[in-house]
Amino acid sequence: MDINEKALLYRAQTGDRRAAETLYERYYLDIYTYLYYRVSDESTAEQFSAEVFVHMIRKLPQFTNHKITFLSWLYDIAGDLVDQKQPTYQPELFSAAMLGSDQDSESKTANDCFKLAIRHLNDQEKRIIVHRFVEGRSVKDLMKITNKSERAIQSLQHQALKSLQIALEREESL
Amino acid sequence: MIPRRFDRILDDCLLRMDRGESLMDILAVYPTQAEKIKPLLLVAMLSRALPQPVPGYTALREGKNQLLAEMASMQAEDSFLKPKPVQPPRERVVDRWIGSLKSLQPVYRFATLALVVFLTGGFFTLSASASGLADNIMHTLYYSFEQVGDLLLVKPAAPKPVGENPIFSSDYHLPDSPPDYSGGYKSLRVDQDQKDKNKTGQSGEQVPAQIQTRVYSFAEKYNGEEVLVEAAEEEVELLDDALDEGQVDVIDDNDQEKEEKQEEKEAEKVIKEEEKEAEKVIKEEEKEAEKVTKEDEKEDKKETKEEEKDEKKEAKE
Repeated sequence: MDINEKALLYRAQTGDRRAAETLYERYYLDIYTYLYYRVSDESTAEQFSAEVFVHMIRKLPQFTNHKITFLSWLYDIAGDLVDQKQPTYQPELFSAAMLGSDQDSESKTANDCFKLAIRHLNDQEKRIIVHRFVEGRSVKDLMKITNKSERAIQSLQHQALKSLQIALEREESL
Repeated sequence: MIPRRFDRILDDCLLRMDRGESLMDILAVYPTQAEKIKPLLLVAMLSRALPQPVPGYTALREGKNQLLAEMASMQAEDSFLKPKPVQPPRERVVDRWIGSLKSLQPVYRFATLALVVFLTGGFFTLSASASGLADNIMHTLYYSFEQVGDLLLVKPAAPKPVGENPIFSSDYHLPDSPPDYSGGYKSLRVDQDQKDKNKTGQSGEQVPAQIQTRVYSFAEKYNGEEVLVEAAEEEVELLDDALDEGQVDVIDDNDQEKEEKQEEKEAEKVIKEEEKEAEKVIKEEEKEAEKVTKEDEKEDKKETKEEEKDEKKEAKE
């Protein structure tokens, strides 16, 4: 965490509106992207993103653990929020609604297949796929975000790609 | 269990993909693993090709409004951290010096600055001129600076030449009490040539034997450097006493030569002894080797005889 971000966080912790707005603008897209691929629905992702930042400002005075990055902390809040709101996930229920009423199962595009397939992955695998490949982050960035070693990240990305490959094959066969 | 090595290979392939290498090129690097890597890389490529989702502007505004509303309620509850009182930064020495300079009158201010510039510039100029060549103006500058230094600084007195030494002057008087030779005279050097010269004297007349044997040159220390000084006739008796009492060490050149010769002889002896020992060891080793070969030959003969016997027995049977 650089000095500017520390100063920004300190100002937000003391109730500075401008600092809180800057944090919101800086990290909104990251959280939204993550939630979009996690819940596979635009409006739900928008709603959850807003809630994540409300949670963030509530918990911010207690955020003193500077060993993890602020973004990593935000991802944790987002993950907890999804777990609370959607505790029992059933992927089969979502596919038709996600793809829109006009589309049938035969006219699935690669994007749609991906959206459906990623729902079959567990939370950790989803995070890796979204951060590493959708957002295009490096392994070093992932080490900071997830607080894991390089080897663990390499192993996780292999596992996530393997799971996604199986899920895609399954969705294409449907 | 997935081997760790494959994780690394896959990571390397993904890095190559990031750099813009084609799929075929990447697979060519790991031909044995190509079948396993290819589907995973295709999945990664598909994931990379996905468009970034863009949130709606209204949702963005609403989210920010929710955040600010929450902040307002928290401020009402006074649940934010209280800002720490800001301490003024400590005044640095340079700032203090500049401050005091500002308080001076402009003339004094200018004079102080000029002095600082002159001293700093002078220091660097002299440092640079130390390595200047003889023709260079910088060398002249450094040389003149050294001359000024010589004039201003008091240097310790240099040793006087032998002829000007007060010991040899006519108005030299021995002190009432004998001097402490252990401090001033570190050693006496018997100079055989000098002794021979003194035997005959400079004008050719014979010198009494008593003086002949007692004319020495001795090493004296001037400013930490050893200088050979001839002993005056008046000092001979005192030097004899000092020698008898063991206050000074005599360095005889003849003795030194003898010692060197002895050392050389001893070294030669040692070398000869070592050579003899080495020859003995070699002879013993050769004897042992001969013994071993003889024993081996005997054993071979025995074995061949036994084999012949066995063959004969088998033939009979």
